[in-house]
Amino acid sequence: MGRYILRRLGFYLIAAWASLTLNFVIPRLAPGDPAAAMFARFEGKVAPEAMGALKAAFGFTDAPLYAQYLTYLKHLVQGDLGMSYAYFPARVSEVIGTGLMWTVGLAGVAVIISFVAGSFLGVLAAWNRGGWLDSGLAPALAFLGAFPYFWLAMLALYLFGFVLGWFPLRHAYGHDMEPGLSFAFAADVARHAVLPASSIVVATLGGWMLGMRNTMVATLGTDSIRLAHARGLPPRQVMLRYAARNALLPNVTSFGMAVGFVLSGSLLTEIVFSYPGTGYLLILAVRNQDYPLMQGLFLVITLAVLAANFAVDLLCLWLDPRTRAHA
Amino acid sequence: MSAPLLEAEGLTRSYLAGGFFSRERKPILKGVSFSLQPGEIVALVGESGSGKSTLARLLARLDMPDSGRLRLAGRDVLADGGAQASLDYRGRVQMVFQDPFASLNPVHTVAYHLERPLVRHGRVPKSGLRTRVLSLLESVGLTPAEAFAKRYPHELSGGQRQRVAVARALAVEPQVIIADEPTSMLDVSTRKGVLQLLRGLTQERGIGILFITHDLASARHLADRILVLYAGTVVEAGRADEVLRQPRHPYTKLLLSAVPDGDDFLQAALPVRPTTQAPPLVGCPFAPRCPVSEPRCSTLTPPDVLPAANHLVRCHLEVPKGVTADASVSS
Amino acid sequence: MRDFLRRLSRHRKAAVGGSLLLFFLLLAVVGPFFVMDPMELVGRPHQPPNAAHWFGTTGQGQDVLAQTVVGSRQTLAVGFAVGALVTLIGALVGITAGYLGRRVDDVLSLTTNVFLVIPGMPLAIVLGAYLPSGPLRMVAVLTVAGWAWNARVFRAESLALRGRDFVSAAVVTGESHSRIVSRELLPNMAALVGSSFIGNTLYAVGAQVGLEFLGLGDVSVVTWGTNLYWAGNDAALLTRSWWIFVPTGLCIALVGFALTLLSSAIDELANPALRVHKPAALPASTAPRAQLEKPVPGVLLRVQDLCIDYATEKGAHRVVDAVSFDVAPGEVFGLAGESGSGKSTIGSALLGLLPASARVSQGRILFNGMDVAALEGPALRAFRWRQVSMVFQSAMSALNPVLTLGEQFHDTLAAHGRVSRAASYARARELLGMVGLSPDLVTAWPHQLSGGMRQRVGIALALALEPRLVIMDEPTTALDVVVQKELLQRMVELQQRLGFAMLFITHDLPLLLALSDRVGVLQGGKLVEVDTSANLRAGARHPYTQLLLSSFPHLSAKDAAPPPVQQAPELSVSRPSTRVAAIPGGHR
Repeated sequence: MGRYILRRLGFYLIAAWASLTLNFVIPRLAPGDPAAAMFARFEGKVAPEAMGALKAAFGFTDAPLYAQYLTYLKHLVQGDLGMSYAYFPARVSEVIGTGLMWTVGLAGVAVIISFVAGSFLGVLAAWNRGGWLDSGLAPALAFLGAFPYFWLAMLALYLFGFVLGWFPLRHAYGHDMEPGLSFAFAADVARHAVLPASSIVVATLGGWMLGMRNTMVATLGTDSIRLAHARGLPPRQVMLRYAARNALLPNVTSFGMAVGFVLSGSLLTEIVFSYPGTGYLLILAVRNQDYPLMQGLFLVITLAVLAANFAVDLLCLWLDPRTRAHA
Repeated sequence: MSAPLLEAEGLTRSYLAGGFFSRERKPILKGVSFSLQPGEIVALVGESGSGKSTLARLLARLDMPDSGRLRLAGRDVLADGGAQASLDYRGRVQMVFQDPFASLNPVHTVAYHLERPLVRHGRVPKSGLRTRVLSLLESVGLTPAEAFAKRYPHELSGGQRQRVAVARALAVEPQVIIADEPTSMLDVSTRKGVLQLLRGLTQERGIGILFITHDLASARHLADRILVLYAGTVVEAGRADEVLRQPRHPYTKLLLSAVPDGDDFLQAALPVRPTTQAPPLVGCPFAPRCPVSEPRCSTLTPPDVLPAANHLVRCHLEVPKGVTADASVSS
Repeated sequence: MRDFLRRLSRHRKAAVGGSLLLFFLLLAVVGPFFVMDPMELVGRPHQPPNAAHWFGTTGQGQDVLAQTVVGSRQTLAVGFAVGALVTLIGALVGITAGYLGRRVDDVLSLTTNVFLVIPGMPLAIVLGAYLPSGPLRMVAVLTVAGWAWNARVFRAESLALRGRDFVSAAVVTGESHSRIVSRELLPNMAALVGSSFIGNTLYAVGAQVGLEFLGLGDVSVVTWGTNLYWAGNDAALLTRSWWIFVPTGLCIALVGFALTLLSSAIDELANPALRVHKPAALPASTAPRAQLEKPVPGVLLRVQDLCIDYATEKGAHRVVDAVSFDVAPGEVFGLAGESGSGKSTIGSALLGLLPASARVSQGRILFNGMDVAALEGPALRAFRWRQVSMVFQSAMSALNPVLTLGEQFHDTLAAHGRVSRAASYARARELLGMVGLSPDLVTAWPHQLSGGMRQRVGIALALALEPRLVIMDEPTTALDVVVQKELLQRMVELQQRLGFAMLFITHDLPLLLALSDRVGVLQGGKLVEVDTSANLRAGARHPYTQLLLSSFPHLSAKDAAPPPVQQAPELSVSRPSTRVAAIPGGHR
């Protein structure tokens, strides 16, 4: 068991190293020297004599590539992601810090709600195969899932924000609120999160439901379920403890895989709501060609996804005695 | 006795067990030797996990042994690893698999399955292909051949599929066929037909067959000689009627007493000691289950003993009764 | 393959999805010739839909209809291009890794898995930000960010196929690696290639639109993504101009929905288990529905004129045909038959366990005078296991892998009366001891047991409520002979001690004769002979029973003489494949 955890941890370290290296290689391999172009745009902002120092700060020096790579790694270990162009002279790590919190909060809550609700609906749909849930709701959710997340966000914002005025239009909390640990602030944050979170939930619900339904249908055909029925167990127990418990395992694994994908979609949702998360920073970075910020975001988001995957691995370990034994 | 057709000597094979960090090897075959004469059927009998399927894969050259020798008509085939040599081997040694539902590709017709070996080994000119396919089908009793040639595997019954698989093996006119439990997945009423087909091949074409099975009764029915495999070791070998009439190894006796044959088969107790212990790596692998084992059985590897001509037993208890064989004499 | 395409064209989901997709392809190819120039400022900005501009105008005064129609062209072109490229790369990497295995596989799967956990969108953004603009950039970025999932799927599939015997058979035939991959593996992956391509196109359209919405596309070209980018930039929401973003979004969703339908249609056709069966094809049951009848003395179970039909694509198919037999209390009754004889179906019917596609269409099953086929709901659940229990062939898979043995015993006991967990565990320990297992296994998981041990657990579980009848459905078929005999002897001993009746189902007639008091022989759903074991051994009358008896070679020297040259008749004739798919279980 300990060995299994170590092995997974080793894998995520390799994955983290690979993404760090990609992050280092991409700007240096890109045609047309975009780094030089960016520094050119700094010219008005900083004194010419400071340019050398600035370049050094970003890791673009005349030193050989391996030396640049080592400096880059050293900076990363120290938590230094360089300087943002858009927020100059703020450091990228500071800019990302608060944004990441909002993203993890919004996307995390939405993804978990969607997974839990979708899986439960999938269980019910498979249990009552051919019923209204299976033949009515499933296709409807599949249709909703075909819309881009951010488009659903636009529609939700248009209908419930602009037309009906039920929910606030932008940001994570009202501009008159003082961030703090008060009930009023928490309620305001929740009110602001309803629309973005529910648009993510609506967009992803169908996928989880279908996935769970299909594994559940396969599980229901096994002898383990026949035996459970033969023993006269109550239907609810057969459905949850015997079928759903086993059907859940492959879906939890694919949940880990899908976290990155859902996060990508939720970044765009944030943009629609001007939600102050990493997605909003991302569009700022793209529009201003703020490469350091962009790369910093890539790195931080990747590490967050790796962490989520590791958490899912631990969850699988807890759910499946067979993994525990083989590990 | 003439030179054996196929001869294996001290074949061993082990697999990596455990995870990434532990490179422990689990032995599957521990020095298996045997020989096969033209026109002879040798049955290899053993339970699941005895290594009989691994041996089949080694002989079909789907896998390489860790050590040991394999000779075909006196030539060492493992030393010569070239592609042409391998093709030559495949032209002479063919295999029939256990599950005819898996050994035929569902997307190809029966005719395709038979044409491929003919084309690959250049056995017939292109113009004669069709006629040869039809005559192959007829030779395994699938008539009308024209109709069967056009069909897909899912349109055939289990017994018919296994006949197609036999026809595929016959296509290259092999000298040896390795039949890995060819009837265990078939319905009982079709088994006999397939067994008779195999028996006919040895009589009509002089093909040597290694018949791998867990069923002593079919081995008795079909084979000239029997090898009993336990935990990767041949524990008893000899003429089929002799081994089954007068089994000498305690494991062979155990197997025989478990065959569901006769009305009182449930009354007789099994000559075995109940244990969940895995076969040990030192000493006799059967010792923990053996009802007559002695202390030396769990420390010393028993020698090969020849209590009668052409009857080999690997058991300490047989030593006083027969000649201890050289390790190289095995049949 | 041709057959597959034909069935695809008849599939409802595939038909709807296919026509939708065809419509949009047509729109993308010829549509732009029929609408205005999408870039031209043709009217006042933010006009709602009107006669001149059916979909209204954008924030700059361009025609929304024109933008929507023209936008389909590049969006779909890039979508399909990326879909094809991702499928190709994924298949190449996946099949190479899966087929070659060993070190190649180690390296390739590690790379694949790393790319799989790196989130696609941020990677695409970083890549896209540095590459020169244009449709090729989009294709490159989306391919790099998206190939890994596919590689994983193809690796798993080729790994599974490589282990199949037909690949080994091809190797033995002497086929080359390239030919095995191209002629043996790939044709079996046709459905996977199809659904992957569709799934990848779906991904490509969605991700493309997302990147363009971010402004990472070429904003001067009209695509669905840039339409939405401009809608956001020109404050479509603030001005409440819903018509600017709704048509494009709907188009994206319709294309996505069409692709989803097609892919799920392919999955359903390739994997019939996902399809919903329609039991409507079955004729109404004509069995009289008497709930209770006076128990006949000396008869525990009476099966009377039992007929069971399965619904298939070709209509109802009778699997059990007018079968009648009695089982006395404490009797061991054997049912012998080959695959397709209906023996397991009868076993399932006795517990009301028939699948949804099957039904008792005639006759009755009377257990102690009670009509089992008429039981429903709580009455049926109370009947199950308390009166009749069952041991399955596949104890390997019949136990729940995520619960300890003790929990499974507790669930069983708790379903039939209030019982504390401690009491259940005590009873479980007692039962495990009874079948010759260590009582400490009560805390073990099923995967920690060998096949023989699991089958013993199955027996212990079947005896938990001391039922009056235990059905044994090929409980020893998957076991080695020595383990089989140990188990059978234990069963017989328990049966004699506890006095329950036993219905033993197997294809092994000699075994049944040694075990049972009486034996019934099934052929093609009909009971052709029922007699005591002694009588059958002395002289079976039905030719099929005689054939079955002669099919088992004996150890005694009598029949070891050279077999006759003429061939035994092939009894199991070709069955239509649809039926095989519809009937679960059964021993081949």
